[in-house]
Amino acid sequence: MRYSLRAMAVSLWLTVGTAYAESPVQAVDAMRHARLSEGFEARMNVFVIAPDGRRAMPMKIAVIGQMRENRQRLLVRGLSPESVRDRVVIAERNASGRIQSYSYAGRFDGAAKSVDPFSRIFGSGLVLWDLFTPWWDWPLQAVVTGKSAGDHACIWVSSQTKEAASATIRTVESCVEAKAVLAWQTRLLNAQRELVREIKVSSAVRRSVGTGLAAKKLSIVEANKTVTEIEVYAGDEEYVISPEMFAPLEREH
Amino acid sequence: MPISETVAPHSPPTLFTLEGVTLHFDEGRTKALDGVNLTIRDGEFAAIVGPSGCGKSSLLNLIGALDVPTAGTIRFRGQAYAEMRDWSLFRREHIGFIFQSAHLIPTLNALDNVLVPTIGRTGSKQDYRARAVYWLERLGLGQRLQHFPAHMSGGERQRVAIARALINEPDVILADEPTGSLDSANAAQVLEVLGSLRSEKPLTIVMVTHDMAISAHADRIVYMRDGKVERTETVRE
Amino acid sequence: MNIFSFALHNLLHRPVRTVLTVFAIALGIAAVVALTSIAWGFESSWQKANDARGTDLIVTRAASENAMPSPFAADKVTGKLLALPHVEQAVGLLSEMLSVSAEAPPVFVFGWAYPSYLWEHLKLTEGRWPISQDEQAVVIGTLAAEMLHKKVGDRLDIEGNAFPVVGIYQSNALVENGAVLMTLAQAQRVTDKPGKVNILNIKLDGRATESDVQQVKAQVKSALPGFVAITSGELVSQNAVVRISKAMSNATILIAGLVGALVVFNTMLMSVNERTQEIGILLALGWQRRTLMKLVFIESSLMTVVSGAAGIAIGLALTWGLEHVELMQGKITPVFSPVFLLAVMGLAVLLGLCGGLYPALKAARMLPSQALRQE
Repeated sequence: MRYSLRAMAVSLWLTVGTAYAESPVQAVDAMRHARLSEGFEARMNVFVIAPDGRRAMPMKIAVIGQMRENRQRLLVRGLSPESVRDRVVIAERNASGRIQSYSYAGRFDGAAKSVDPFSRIFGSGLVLWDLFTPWWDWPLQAVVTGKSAGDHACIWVSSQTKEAASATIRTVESCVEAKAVLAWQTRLLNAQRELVREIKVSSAVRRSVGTGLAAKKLSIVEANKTVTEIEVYAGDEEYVISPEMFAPLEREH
Repeated sequence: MPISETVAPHSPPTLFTLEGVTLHFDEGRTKALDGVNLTIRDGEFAAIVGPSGCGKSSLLNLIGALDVPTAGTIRFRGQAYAEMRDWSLFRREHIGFIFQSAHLIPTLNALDNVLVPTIGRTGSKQDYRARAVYWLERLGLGQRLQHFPAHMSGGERQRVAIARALINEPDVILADEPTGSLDSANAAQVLEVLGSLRSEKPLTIVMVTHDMAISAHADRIVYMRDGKVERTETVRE
Repeated sequence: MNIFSFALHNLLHRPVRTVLTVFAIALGIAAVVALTSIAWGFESSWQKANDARGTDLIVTRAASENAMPSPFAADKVTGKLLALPHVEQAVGLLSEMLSVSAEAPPVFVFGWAYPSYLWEHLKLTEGRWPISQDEQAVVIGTLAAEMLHKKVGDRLDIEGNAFPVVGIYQSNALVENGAVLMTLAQAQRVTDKPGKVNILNIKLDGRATESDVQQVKAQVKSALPGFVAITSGELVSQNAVVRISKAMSNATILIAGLVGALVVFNTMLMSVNERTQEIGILLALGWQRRTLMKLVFIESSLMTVVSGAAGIAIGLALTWGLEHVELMQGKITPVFSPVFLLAVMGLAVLLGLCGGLYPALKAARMLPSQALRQE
């Protein structure tokens, strides 16, 4: 008996899908709209499997976010084991698309360290930059033909940017199911069109608010074949963001 | 060549009347019976004889309402079979069948085999049982009531089949080679039983046989050939 | 000799086939009995959990399809509820399914407002209750203690917080026996849901009648859009896990029914085909067609009735066995009702009739002369 989740909205894989997209263009709009949230929290089990098959100690983390049109903020907090407990990664993406991120341990005491938004969170395949799904804001969006992801009737959308600011990732290909407002598969490619990461959703649950699905289980495969399996076990789609939650960001500004 | 029959005014009433009875199998390719005309009088013992495949058994089946003629009419006491509502009811009330091999139900003892035709009938179970015991005793099987067919001789089995045919007190016994699988001693015993029954109560017997010696017990012999009644012969009055 | 003893003779004459058929159907019936009783037991256990708490009505977010209703801020809702007539108390509850030990599967972690009437129905078997709502401590059910291998004085890691086990309790409800219980304040803290609950338990005053309960339900609907007030039975019947377990038992009934009918059909058809000549003889001996049909139906029903009885016995034994297997101990509380067992017997008879229908018709439609010719 598993607690099926009403899960949350880390916008990469989940959505506040209110719009029902009927065309590829609408699909991109719907995905962009879907990540908006006044507050959400998702708790997940994270399992990292090294290329040689070795499994790291399972990890529990909480992802908290507030996603507005012009300002998106995320906080990832380690729950267990001891090695990640109370370690926090916090990030903000502003209207121009710039992402600033910091990390600190324990209670914030004014000392936060600036971190690369492309770095892996707590040694897993999770990456802050991905969580913001910035590619939906890129100007170049095209529908490409491709095999559907699994049994899902999804269409492949290729998002591209020429900005060097986006650093590693220049192309993102997503297989979007319009009705579910969910990308079942996402491929992140670099400037040389080499695969950097691939994210696959294996199961999703109906959201408790609005329409659309939210991912429950997903896996991230990195270029070096490190696999990160994620299972969302609890969540709150109407999480109340306390004023002090993102205070460290304000302080850094 | 069929022989048209005339019935003398003082003769017993007609029980069965067959007019132009034809029976085809395999969509007409095989003619089992071809325009048979025949009457059988009440209380008569008629033997139907003829070579194998001449249509004797088919004729018996039609008389017993086990089969439907392709053409022609069969009547019982003037009523056409085609007008009867329920042939199984007709069989139950009027006909007793005896087959070449006794066709007893192997899992039932002699008494229960005799009682099989009473299953589904209203009426006192005790009465049926008493009647079954009576007939089995009459047929010399008083000591064999609880015996199963496998433990009986061919003659005994056939006598059980006779008791079974009599349990519903029929007007007619239709017997298809009843002695065919018996040795001469047992065959004689069966014929004797049938003969003695007729001496006690009015009972019509129509028997198919290929044994002329047996047919000598009959009142009348019906000779058949190629699906037709060739001639009939009265043995005794 | 009557038709029943004749039918019985026919069945006993083919003992291997009859026994195999009876056994196959009995297994299906046993699966139905076991699964259904466990599913019902599961449902009644959930309902007991709510009934035992003395809760008259439960207020949750409307249209929650998930196992647990979505969390919501309790404050405003509680205020509005207490303003309704007959509402005496409105007490919050927060529950999550969490893994608290690497070795054991996830368990229910309940946070109950403390102090409140919710705690009153539990029986403390060891240790003590939390001292205050702010004490970082848990009490665990007897089953949870067994599953997690924890005793008073041990610690549980719940969402990165170490909680000492200060007591062990017993409840009538299986769900609660397998749960970890803390104060609502603590649950809100560890799950990072300050001020939130996912269920508000309403206790009405002693004067409230059934129609008052209905009235409160209607008032909640109009005063609190997006919320519903339901009785514990209604909540349980909406619960996804209960629905799944019931759907599984229904599917078993359907499959077992279908397979059972096919088995009977096959056996009776074989039997009728083999007995063609016998059927011809019976017809020649004056059996009416309806008597023949009756015979086939009685034979098939006799088999299924015996299967039904045997299946119920096996099913009862199976659930009893499961209940006492160490792995399952305390996790299932099957519920058997005489009505259900009667319905199972009804199902068995229905199987016999359905499975026997075509063979019976086939037997009754035979032309006696043709049947007699068959060897």
